[in-house]
Amino acid sequence: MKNGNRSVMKFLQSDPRALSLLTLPAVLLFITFVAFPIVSGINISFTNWNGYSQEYSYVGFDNYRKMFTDPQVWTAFRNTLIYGFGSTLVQTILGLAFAMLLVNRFLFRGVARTIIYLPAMVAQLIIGYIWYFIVTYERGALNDIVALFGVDKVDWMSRGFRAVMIIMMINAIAYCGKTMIIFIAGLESIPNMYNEAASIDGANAWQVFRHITMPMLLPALTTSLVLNIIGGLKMFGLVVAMTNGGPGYASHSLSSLINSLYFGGQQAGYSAAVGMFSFIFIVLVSILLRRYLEMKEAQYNG
Amino acid sequence: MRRILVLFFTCIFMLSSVFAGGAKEDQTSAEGGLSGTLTVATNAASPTYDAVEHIVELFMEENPGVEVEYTTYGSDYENLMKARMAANDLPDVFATHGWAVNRYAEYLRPLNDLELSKRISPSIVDTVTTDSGDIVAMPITSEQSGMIYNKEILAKAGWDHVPATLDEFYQCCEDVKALGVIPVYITGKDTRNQANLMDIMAVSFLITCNDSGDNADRLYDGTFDWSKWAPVSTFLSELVKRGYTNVDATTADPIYTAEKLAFGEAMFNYNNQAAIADAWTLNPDAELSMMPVPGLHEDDEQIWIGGERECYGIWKDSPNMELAIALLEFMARPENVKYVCEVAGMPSGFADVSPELRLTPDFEAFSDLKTYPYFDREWLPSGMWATMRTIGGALTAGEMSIEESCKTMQDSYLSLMAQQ
Amino acid sequence: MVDKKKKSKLKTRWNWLKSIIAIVISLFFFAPFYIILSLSFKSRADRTSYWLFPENPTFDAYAYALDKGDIWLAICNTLIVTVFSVVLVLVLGSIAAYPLARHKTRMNKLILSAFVGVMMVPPLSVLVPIYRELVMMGGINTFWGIILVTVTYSLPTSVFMFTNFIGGIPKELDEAALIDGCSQFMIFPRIILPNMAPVISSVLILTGVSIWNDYSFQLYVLQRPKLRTITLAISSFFSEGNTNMPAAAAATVISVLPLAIIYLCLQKYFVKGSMDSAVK
Repeated sequence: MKNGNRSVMKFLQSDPRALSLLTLPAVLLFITFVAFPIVSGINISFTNWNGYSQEYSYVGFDNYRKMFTDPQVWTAFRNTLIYGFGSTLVQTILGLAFAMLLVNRFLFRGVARTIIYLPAMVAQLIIGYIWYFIVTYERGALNDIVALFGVDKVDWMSRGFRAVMIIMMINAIAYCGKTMIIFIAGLESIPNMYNEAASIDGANAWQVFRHITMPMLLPALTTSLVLNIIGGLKMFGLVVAMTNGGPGYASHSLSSLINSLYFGGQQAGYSAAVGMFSFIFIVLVSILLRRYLEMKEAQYNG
Repeated sequence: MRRILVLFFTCIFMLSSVFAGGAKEDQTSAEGGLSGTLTVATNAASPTYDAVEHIVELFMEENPGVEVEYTTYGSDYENLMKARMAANDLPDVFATHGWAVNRYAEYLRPLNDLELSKRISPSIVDTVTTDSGDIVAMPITSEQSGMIYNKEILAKAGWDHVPATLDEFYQCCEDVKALGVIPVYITGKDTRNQANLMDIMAVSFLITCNDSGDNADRLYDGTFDWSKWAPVSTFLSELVKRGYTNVDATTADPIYTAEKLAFGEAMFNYNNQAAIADAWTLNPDAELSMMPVPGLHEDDEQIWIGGERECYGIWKDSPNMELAIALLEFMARPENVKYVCEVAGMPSGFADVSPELRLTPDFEAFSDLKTYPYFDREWLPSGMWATMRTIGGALTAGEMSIEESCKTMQDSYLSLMAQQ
Repeated sequence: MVDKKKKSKLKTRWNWLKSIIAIVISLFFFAPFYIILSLSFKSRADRTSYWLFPENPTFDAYAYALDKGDIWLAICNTLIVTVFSVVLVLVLGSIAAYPLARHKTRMNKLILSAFVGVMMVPPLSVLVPIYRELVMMGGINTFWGIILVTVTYSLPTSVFMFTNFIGGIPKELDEAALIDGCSQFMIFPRIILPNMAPVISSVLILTGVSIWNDYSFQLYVLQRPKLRTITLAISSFFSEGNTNMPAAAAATVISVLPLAIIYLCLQKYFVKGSMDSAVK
């Protein structure tokens, strides 16, 4: 018995595997509130459950089959791609530009940093409602500006694709502050002597940017890309607040569609199937993305 | 190190106190009388919510041992209730917002044994009665709807009566449009508005018109020919095509309805009396009223659409059954019903209560017309509301043809009939 | 000498230009907040352009929002949920991250990728199963219920950032400590933790903000009016049937204000924290 105790002690003291015990609380939470619900979601996706009754029956792969011919799902899928990748692109460009502008000290730098970051601190649903007041037709703030130029009022969100692009841009504007902060950090971590050395060597601004700044920013870029793309692909609040998925179903993201199928309709089973599809898709994207970025980083470092 | 440990244990201690705090629930019982805690949930907004809250407070005054938690969840209510039904964990008393029979019946306690069930107004008792004859909910207020309209604009457009047929309605829209007023105000950001429009018009177009044939029977038994739905979809898309709706019909938020009605910028709107009451809080002089649904043809009858409005049922597994019944009986007292109806501006759900409402004289002018239930509640399987929202949104946006909309309705109808 | 002077003059001018650009950008980004602010001071019947500040500002909307929304209680509840969740996220996240960053066994890699996978689960798609579980556990309408769920869904981001950061701390430090006779469980509090201040502050703010703003979990778990959090209180002003726009705007301002103040106070640390964790 004593012997057993001692070997346990020894295991704890020196075997590196024992350290993994530290992950236990997190893993337990994970199993309870993530793994279990997901398994239950997979189960639901094979039923015709209406979302509230105690009765339902299994329908095999019907929900998955239906998904592939449902224009709602494909529109939402396309939009999700735009929300994910489009807004990440805009966010990265804006974030990088703001970071370059605001990295060095000058008057109003602090104010600008604060205000650009402000929207990222507000709940997405609320950001959505605020912007709704701007782009709405009736007394919309944007239309008031348009009117100053003598142009007729525009119902901005009435065309599906235009609504999608506007939501994408608003997402980018709301969260480019986060990207900016990450890039400022990256820029500050570049030792100044690199830039100076390069400019003494006669490199012009673009060359310095291309050959020194960019490679050094790569880790910052990796982090921000992963976070932004996942954030964009999961977008929900903005869509709900700005268009509620409309006109028709033209601006739904996968998340908002899942929500409206589950709660708006009585198609919990189908909604769960779409949910599984979107989950698998986002996981795939993130795996590919990380692989690619790790490769790139290795290239630069090697 | 030590500091960290101290910090850690302090946190654990504080957490455990929070954890313990959540579970405590005092069950002090007053001498005699009722005691305990009752949860009541609704989706009502003010003024209806305020009115019922007042009644709940009176109930607590009369029964000092009782604590009633009355909450509104607004537009989140339906989602929340679905999750709670799925977990079979419902509030003791809850609002059924038109879904007492189709959605909540499985979870409601029949009220037939209570005296109040005999007083429910005969015109709406059917809407809260299941096929097996159980009355499952108690309507405090009821609804008598058609279209909201503005009397002043109607007169300005040169009309001395409300449009009684579809053709007259279109003509009236044309005349109103010429005045520079929006004929039909649609708030399509929330597609419930279009679904509501079709839900009302479908009764007139498919059920009560003279050439409806056996539509009703075929809808019940699942053999309905869905190409006959076309007039309903056509009506909505015609309104848009002819420019009878607001420009932003697909994107307007319902938050704007009140001001459009209050300031005479919109003529017709599909909503219940509560929207009128709300507009009056902005402009008490607005000459708003409610008109019946026009008939499809010349000799078809005009009709009212009605049903329960603020309506409460008791969860069948409620651990506080005695309290819940007491609350319902208290709410059903004529003076309390009258109070709620008058504050909310809605007709009563009880036969023996007639509130004094600003709209009452207007309703009396049409007292000989018949009242029918909403189309989806009576003639469609549960779940079609979502489909109507989908096609309503798509038709307003011009993204769907009439044929496609009929096809979508048919597919959804067949699959829901099969589910039953 | 002359060259240097010229250069610094050029620099001052460039800095002025930068200030002007910064102001223009700030104005653009502040516009939405200005609109909500001016709307919150209007009366319900005021239908002037959103750009115009009301001539007679009124506090009616604020009075209404505070009265109806029970905002103070909501702020207290939100604070309780946020503080406890953030502390748990920091503790559980950092101790889990240490072995994951240091020992890349197959098991640990699997755990890490499962965690990162959670970042991608749209919470809505698992809401109903989670709700059922909580009902069975008696966690509905309790703070511990919402805290456990919130912690679970905030942990992945923190584990992701902590492992990145710990990976950047030289392993030689651990080894030196081991040789000095430090037990392996003591390495983390003695060697690693003191170096983690920057990443802790950034995780604190990131998860703090997202928990403060969380909506869906709180809606389902905290149903009793006494337990309502701030986002739930505001959302009631945007519900169907409500047409009081100024009140909705006022509620929004009230909800954003505490965060904005905290952010202004902590700004310096925050920028620094985000930097270190994101880049390393």
